[in-house]
Amino acid sequence: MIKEITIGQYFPGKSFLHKLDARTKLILVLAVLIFIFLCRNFYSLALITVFSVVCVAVSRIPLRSMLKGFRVLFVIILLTSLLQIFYNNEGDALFEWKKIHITTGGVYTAIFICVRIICLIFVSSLLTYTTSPTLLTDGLERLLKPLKVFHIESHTLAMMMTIALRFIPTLIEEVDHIMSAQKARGADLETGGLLKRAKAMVPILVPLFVNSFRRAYDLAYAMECRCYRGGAGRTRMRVMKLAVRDYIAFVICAALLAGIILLNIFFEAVI
Amino acid sequence: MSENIIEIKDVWFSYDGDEEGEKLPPVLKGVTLDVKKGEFLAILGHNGSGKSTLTRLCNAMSHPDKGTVTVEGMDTSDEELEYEIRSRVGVVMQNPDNQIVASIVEEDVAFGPENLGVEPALIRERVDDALKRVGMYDYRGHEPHKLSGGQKQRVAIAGVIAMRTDCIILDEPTAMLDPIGRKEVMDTILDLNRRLGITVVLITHYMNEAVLADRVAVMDNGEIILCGTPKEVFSDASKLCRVGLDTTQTGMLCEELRKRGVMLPGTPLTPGDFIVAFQKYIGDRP
Repeated sequence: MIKEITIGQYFPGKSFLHKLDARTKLILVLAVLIFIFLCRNFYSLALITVFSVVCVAVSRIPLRSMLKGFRVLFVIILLTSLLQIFYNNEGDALFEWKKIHITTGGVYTAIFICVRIICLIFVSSLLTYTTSPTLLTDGLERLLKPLKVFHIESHTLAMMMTIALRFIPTLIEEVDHIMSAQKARGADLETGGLLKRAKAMVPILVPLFVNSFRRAYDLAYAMECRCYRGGAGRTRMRVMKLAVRDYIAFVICAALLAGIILLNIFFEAVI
Repeated sequence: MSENIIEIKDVWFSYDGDEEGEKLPPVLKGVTLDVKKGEFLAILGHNGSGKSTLTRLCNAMSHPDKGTVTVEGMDTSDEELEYEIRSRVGVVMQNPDNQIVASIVEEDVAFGPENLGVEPALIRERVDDALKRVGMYDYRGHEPHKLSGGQKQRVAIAGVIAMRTDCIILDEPTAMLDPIGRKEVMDTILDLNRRLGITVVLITHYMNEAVLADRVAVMDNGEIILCGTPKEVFSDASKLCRVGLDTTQTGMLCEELRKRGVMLPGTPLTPGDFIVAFQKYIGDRP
């Protein structure tokens, strides 16, 4: 099931969204997520839905694999919206039976929340779908630089993320090795109840931890050997520069915001 | 400037114990060794003979208890020069997985120059150049964990080349590799030394690798017991034997032949030398 969740993955490509600067994408995704919450009626919601769908289409990421990843989430979304139907009792009654009242207000909120959550998922997952992890950390490092005022070194945060990303595949491989080694010694990892299987994980986690510390020590040594001294005086090979397309993206999002505000003013609020 | 790039003079060293102020038995006992500019020096020795400790002393990660280590005239115990020394002496470690920092090959190679504060455009140039030197340019966009062991070690070597160090110390770089990876790495090291003139210090326990060096130093129990050209060192089979090291496979073959009365001219150490010597031997016979 874990393998099915594609959120957080990166799909290499050459679309407009892929080519955007990581910083632009980080800022704009955050902005659009806020815009989604600004929508007060179905007209503005429709606008943002159209925008999300267009974004997905532009990214040229196969919709099939995207939807496959969301399958687990759809159950949660459906449940949340169903609950909304029974919670909200405003508006005209549609259906009444004993203590259950279903009203237009309830149905509207359910639809609204359902669409809203789907938009949120699509937009936010597009960020990682179209940006490689290294670019993303690079972008974050540069965006968080002003945090220096609060004595938070954005470089340190980015370096931790880089190392974590770098070692995930290495550690997965290691877990595999340790599991095989323990199985070869007769460890039973597949049968038994949940508690028994959880207990069987201990002989795998302990060597993994010990080895991780050894790796950390080695890596620190290697980094010092290569003259690492933290962020001060450090330059970067990749220069991040905003291109025309980044400004276009900003203008499009500004137009979107204007559209939402206008629709909110001219039409009656539903939620 | 002196001809020696690293000078180790009568160095004693012991690690700290677990308790405050406690010292473990010395790992290095009066080591004196010079590394000449542009040479290829191999240091041979068993596990625990003090080879890796010597590496740590050469790039100012540890400081000697007694004696001095100087790199291009800079004393390693001067803390202000630490950084300068590390930018002159690069280190490649044994485990290829634990020394790669970034999740893309070219970014990892750029890590060293980035730390040195080199201009972005210049880093790009150096990274491309370094990757071409080790034959990994086509893999520049790959993820390191998808490479073979030999390829990872070559990336690590490229990371040092990109820093433009004068000297590379390789601490058993082939110990965790298969024969193919070992050959790739050795070819790369030889190429660096012969064509770029980078000083190479190779720490190893493989005789066949040490034979390729200009000079071999043999360490045992914290001391250097033999030092000289491979021919000199490997012909002293009895002394090597005493510290539990063998001569090369070719050397052993010659020894066995000698016992059976076949006297080959010279002391061939590599298969190539052996063939030449053997042909000569056959040709000389009536």
